[in-house]
Amino acid sequence: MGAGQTEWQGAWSAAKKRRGRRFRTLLWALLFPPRGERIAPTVTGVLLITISLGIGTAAYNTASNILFITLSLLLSCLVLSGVLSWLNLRAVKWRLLLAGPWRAGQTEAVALELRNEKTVFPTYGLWFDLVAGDGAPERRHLETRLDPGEDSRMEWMLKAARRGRMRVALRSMGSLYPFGFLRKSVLSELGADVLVWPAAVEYRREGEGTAWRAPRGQGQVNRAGQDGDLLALRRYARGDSPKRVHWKASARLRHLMVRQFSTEGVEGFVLRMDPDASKWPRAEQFELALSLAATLAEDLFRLDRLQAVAIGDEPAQTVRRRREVEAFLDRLALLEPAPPRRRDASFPAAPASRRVLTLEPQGPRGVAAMIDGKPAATA
Amino acid sequence: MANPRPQLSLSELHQVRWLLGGLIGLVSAWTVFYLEVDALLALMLLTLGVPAFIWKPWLAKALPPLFHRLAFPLIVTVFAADLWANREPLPAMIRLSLMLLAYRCVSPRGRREDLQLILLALFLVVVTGVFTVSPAFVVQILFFTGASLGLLLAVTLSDSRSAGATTEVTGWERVRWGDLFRRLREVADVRVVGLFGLLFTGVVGCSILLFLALPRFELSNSLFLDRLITRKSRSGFSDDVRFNELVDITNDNSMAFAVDVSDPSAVPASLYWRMVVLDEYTGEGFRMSQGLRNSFSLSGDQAVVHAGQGRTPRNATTWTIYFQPTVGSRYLPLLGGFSRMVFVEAQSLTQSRDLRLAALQSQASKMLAYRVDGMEAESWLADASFAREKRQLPATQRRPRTQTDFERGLEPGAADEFSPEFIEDPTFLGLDSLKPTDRARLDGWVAEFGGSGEGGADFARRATAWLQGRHSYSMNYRIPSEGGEDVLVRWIGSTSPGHCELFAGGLVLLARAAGVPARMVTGFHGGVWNATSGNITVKNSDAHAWVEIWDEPSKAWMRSDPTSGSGATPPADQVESMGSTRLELDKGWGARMDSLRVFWYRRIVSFDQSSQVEILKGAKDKLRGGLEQLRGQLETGLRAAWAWVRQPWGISRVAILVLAGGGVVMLVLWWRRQGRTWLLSWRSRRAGTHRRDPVRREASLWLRKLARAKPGELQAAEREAARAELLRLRYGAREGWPAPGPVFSRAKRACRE
Repeated sequence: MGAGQTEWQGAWSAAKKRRGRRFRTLLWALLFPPRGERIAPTVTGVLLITISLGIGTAAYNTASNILFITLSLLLSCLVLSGVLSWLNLRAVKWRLLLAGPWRAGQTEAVALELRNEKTVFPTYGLWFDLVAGDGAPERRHLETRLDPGEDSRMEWMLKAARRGRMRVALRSMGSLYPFGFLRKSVLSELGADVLVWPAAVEYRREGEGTAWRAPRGQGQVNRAGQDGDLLALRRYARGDSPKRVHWKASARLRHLMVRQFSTEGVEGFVLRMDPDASKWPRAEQFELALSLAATLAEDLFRLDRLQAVAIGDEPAQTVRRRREVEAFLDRLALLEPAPPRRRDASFPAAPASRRVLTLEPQGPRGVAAMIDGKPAATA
Repeated sequence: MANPRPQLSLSELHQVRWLLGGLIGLVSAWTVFYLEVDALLALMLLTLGVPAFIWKPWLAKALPPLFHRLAFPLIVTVFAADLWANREPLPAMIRLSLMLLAYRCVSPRGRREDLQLILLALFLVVVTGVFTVSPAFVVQILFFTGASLGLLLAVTLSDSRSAGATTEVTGWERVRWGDLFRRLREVADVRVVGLFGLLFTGVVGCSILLFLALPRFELSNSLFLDRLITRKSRSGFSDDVRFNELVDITNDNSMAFAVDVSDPSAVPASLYWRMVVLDEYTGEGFRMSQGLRNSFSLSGDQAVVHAGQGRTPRNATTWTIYFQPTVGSRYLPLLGGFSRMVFVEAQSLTQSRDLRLAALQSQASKMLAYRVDGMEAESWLADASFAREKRQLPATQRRPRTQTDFERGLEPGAADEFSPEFIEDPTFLGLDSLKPTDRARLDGWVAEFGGSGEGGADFARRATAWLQGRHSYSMNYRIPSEGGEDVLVRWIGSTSPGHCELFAGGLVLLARAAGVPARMVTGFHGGVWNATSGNITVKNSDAHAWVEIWDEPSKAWMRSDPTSGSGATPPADQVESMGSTRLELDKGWGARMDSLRVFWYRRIVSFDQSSQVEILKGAKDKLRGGLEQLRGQLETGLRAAWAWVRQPWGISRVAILVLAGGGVVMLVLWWRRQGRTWLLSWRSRRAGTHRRDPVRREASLWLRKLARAKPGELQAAEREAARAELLRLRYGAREGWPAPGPVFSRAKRACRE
């Protein structure tokens, strides 16, 4: 299973997984289906059942074989409906494709990949209910025919309400195919937990923060030390990106040499988020602080000014790759206010070349990013 | 992935729905033609209007909103007026259904309207089927089922397609049928269509099984719908028959009834199916007198089995009669007396034991099936009570009361008509309607051929010869205007040709004039043997009238058929050989079509609990027979083998045994080593690149077995190697496959160890 994908699931595998294979369990499930999983007659189905009952009563009341023939045909149509429905759902598999990153308040796409593994019969008229977190399920219909051996894709645009761990799950799938007599609904537990990063916030740069600007023509930096002019070649040090390796020089000198850019060594920041509950008595202010921390982390990384990140009193983690920033954002996503620290406890000292960017409450609602006790950005 | 097959658009799906709905409406409405319901106007409008709306759907959209607003109130008003005026609920409901159906066919439809259309159509098809019991019902209901399922499928697909849409589909009414059919042909996959066809055949098969298997028991004994519709009687088989009314029936060449006979050899060469006995001459025809009517009594109210006049003799022939409602009579055709009559559905039956007649309380509105046990087919009917009455009463008192006398008995203050003193005697000698001059003419003719003679049979013979000498048989007859007051007397006096009613009426008048009791009988004469279905088919064209004359020496009513040519026997080459029956054979296309109808009556309409028991018995007997046959074959084989073993042994016999044993062992070994692999490879080649390749599935099976097997340290390398090869078979490209046979053998060894 690749990242952002669930495993393949079909209608029967979903049911079997929940109920097991025992006949007694299956029978019991038929009599008392689990919540959400049921076969309920539609208006057409209720009509058919009522007509069948009426014709059956008349047939027995009169011994008219014409009515018995009609009754037999109506019952056979129900059987045919069941067979076609089974054929429709047979060998159809689906999986969820979850694109990231998820950020609170932003819309993300979730795709359902559908595959018909049958050899002859196409599949029609399925619907899928997808739910994100505590939200209401959203339904998508398979509007076109899914031919044998073909794949199809449905997309949902979902919005995460808050940061944290969120379950994106396929609640159920169902169908009215073929004749609309019965609404067949199968519960599905297919889904995945996604981490929702804190929401991006707009902030105002102040003081030293006004100097945070991206170099001209450079919108996004994915790797540390790649921006600026090429100054020289130096020996490879642990943590250097393989893409910076200068292969010709390495071959000539018989040891790994990497390119050194002008931005390397420019003063960077250690972004430290202190979750001390005594500092953040108001929950919304804490959330705002997390959002600002996440936004600053990304912006500074893009500007190649983020050297390390830290949460609480733990040692700072050096950030060189995008993946490391994302790991920090993942932690921010799950961060909760921590119990107050001892008064004598202090943060570990940062290296001389790094300056610490801390987040402090500002007023009753605001948050400020502070460098050396001076605000650099406020939100 | 590119889709090689196009898909129908939402508009095209609507067009398919429009077409199917219109066709369902039309076909179900046309079934009403089979019913005797006055709905010609509605049917004509529907037949003309609906195809136009189907062809040009924009017409439906062009109807003004006022039309839709007024349609339903108008239809309900017409229905109420119809019900009030005609007092017939079912015909009114059928006309209401037709109107609603027509409205649904010409107005734009959504899901709900499509369902209404299907319901209305089902109502019409089923009601028609119940009232006609026609084999055409099968065609109608199958078409209805197929088209309705297609319509419901199209509704489901279009609903699924438009699930997210908020606007109404437009533009579907601008249909080009040629383009739509071309699109349907492009969209259709031959395999899917074939499979759907197979599934529909499966539905029919499933229905047949359900029909056979549904437990049969009756909750009640009446079909309430039966009473909601009235059929038009045919007066040829009523209590009052006027001349020519019976002849009109003979112009109809359709089947009147079919008869299954348990023993075809018991069928007499000449069959006279008696339905009505008419004794009172009215001058314009014959009718059943009140006295004769009083001889009918209720033999059972809503019962299935009705006792007749006698006991069922052993090995008695049983006659199963499928009586068509088109005959239009409540009297049932019978050859004579019977011991028992069994109906498929419970009936109220009245019987006259003296007349050997049976009649329903009301005319059947659908095909009536009944079995008659111990039916007599003789040409005479013993009547002890009439013989006793005749002996006790002097001739002067035997003259029956006239109708005038009877009416006089109903004066105010008098006893009611059922009092014994007012019960009329049958008028087997009545000639009250004749003028004295006509009576004198009759007496003259009777004297001409020798008077009453020694008995009725003798008289009938002479009178018939006399009549046939003067008249030939023809449907085109002419009665002279002179020669008497009475029509029949004028015809007797002439030499004009005539038909059966005139011949029979003439003989009755002559017999009565001679003092011989006589009565006219109407029914059917003859029938042909349907060579396809093996039954007697009697057509409406076989309708006939003949005479029963009292024969004093034998104390019985003797059948006499005075019509010229009516006693002709079929040519010898057209009579069934082997003595199974002596009726004329019918092998034509008409007979084949009739045989379908008879099959329908025998196997479907008359199917009941006893038929289910018969089927079960038949299946049980076949199973038992098959098992016994198998056991017999086994025993024979074993005996032959034992006999072979007990024979003296020689080198050649030993060699044969060794060769045979060796051959079997070789075959088993080959199958275990190569055969199964060869079969798998062959199936794999046929499967192509499909995911369900049998070799891949087999490899998957062995992988699971390997995973479950307990790991042995010594064979770990062997197991790993087997697993690697299995993985190549399971997931690898076909071109890089190792030979599957050895891989599976290796996996088997690894699992075993």
